Amino acid sequence: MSGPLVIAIPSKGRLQEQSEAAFAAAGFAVEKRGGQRNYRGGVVGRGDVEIAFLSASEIAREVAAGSVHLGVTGEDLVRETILDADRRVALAVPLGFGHADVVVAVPEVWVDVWTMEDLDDVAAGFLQRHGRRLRIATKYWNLTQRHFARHGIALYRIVESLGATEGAPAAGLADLIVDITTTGSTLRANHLKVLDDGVILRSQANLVISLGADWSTASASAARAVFDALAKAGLPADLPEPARRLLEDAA
Amino acid sequence: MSLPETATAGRLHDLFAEAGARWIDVPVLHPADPFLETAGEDVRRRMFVTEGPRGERLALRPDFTIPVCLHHLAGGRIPMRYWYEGLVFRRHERGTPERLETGYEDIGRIDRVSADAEALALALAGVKAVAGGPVRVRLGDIGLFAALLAALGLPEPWRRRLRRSFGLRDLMAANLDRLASPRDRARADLDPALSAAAERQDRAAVIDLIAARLADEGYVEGAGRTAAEIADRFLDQRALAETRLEPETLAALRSFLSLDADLRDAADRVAGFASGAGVDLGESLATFAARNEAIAGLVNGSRIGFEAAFGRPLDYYTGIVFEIAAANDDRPRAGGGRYDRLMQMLGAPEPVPAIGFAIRLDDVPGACQ
Repeated sequence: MSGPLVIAIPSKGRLQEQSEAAFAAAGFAVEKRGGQRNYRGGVVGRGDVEIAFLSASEIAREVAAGSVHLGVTGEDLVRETILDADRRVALAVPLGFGHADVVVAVPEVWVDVWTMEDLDDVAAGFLQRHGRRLRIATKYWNLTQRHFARHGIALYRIVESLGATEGAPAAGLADLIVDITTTGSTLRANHLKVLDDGVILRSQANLVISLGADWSTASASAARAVFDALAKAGLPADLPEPARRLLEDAA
Repeated sequence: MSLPETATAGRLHDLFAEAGARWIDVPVLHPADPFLETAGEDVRRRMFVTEGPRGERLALRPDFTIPVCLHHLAGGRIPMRYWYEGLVFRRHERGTPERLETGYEDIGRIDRVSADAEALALALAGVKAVAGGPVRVRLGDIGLFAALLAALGLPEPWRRRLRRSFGLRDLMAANLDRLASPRDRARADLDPALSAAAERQDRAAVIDLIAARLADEGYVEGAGRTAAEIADRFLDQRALAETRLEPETLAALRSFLSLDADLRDAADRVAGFASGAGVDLGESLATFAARNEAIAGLVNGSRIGFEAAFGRPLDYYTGIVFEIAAANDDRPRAGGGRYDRLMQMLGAPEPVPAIGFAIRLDDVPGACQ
């Protein structure tokens, strides 16, 4: 087997720039092939590496499905979109950019609510008082459900939100939100506060390795070259056992 | 009345018919809202939800209890026993998402003691018929626990919290620890005007301050928590922070939750605990004893273990809860309980007594994994 190593990187915005910069610092110059509109690319001087430009959430899915070997995406998306993530992918290299916390935030004016425990109490009487469950606006269904289950809170309902989540409480579309925040300024501007124990995940961009991809001798050795080069550029890999074994077996 | 068209064609038909239950068929696709609003978290996060032709949200039925209750609610609400068999659809970490279930719901019957005992006996007979061999029963009663919380004179917010952790061992332990040593609730970042109003116990002023903030910050009126609701809980919490559970109260709760007895001795053990702790469990204990006797009259030869801390984490359960497992199987084969609050949550004007259970039949072979 001699297929190339396929690395997925974000196709737009800051994440694309920062991903390309990280690879460039390690000596891998990413280039688009066939013009700017193309979604395939490569690395200058390396015929054994192919680049796929995808959206960050697609990248999490494709790495999980094994259709790419490596991908740059946020841990939030890995934990959110991949069922049983630790068996299908591994977070190989934390890249030091794309920092964002996934948090539970409630209206500041809820002066009686500071912790998940308070929220549990509020959620419990909600149906009787309002004829509906407490509503949480989020696009992070799975992270929300897991975090709330960990705190023993079952009496809520998630309403899907695909944008401007932080405006949902004031608009009456939801009572609270689970969303990402970097500096907290958007939350504050919307009069929302993060609960004391409301940080679900401190996320950053990672180079993620697929445990289910088709690993050829060539792609495994190219992957090792990528990890070595990133390590030399100050971004050491931390490969868990299954991922290490996978690369050794393919060699 | 049609019979189920499933692989097993109503495996427990004779058993349920003899119990006076009536076969009920409910659609596979069902409006999702009743499930999303009332089903337990365990069911809701496993549901398959899709969209209907007019954009309405539909779910593949994740269980039968809610559809049966809705049917009952729509159909005149005469006391009735139902039985069903069919596929339920839930995402599981392992195994197929479609599983065959059969079950029974006894809705509207006032004589709770008989209804409880009959339901448990029926579930036992059903599990024996499908699983063969000896079975184990775990039984708990959240009604007894609620009665204890009231008898101990706990403040209502603490009662609510403990009731919600019933059946969740770790959460209960954490909550009991917390109530023994309350935390400091003083908040430096709190608005001084609000602190001052709270200090004066001036409820009206607290409400006004919160209402003003809601308006300033652009909250749609009447959409969410009201100023009065926030103010009341805020004042409650401040009061609670200054009290703590007495050591004797805590000891009584822990001692109750550790009770574990054969059902035949359970009422005596609970009575012994109550007199030792100096609490009066009143009607709840009498009902508990009468029900255990009724169960003993209907069931023999199966070990039924009463565990005071055993519960199933659903807020509509109000009384007996049970799980039945075959001796050679870790996963429970059947589970059920009394859910007198569910009908009201689904729109009934008053609470309706109801009890039911479901029995897992087989994982459907060949279904997508």
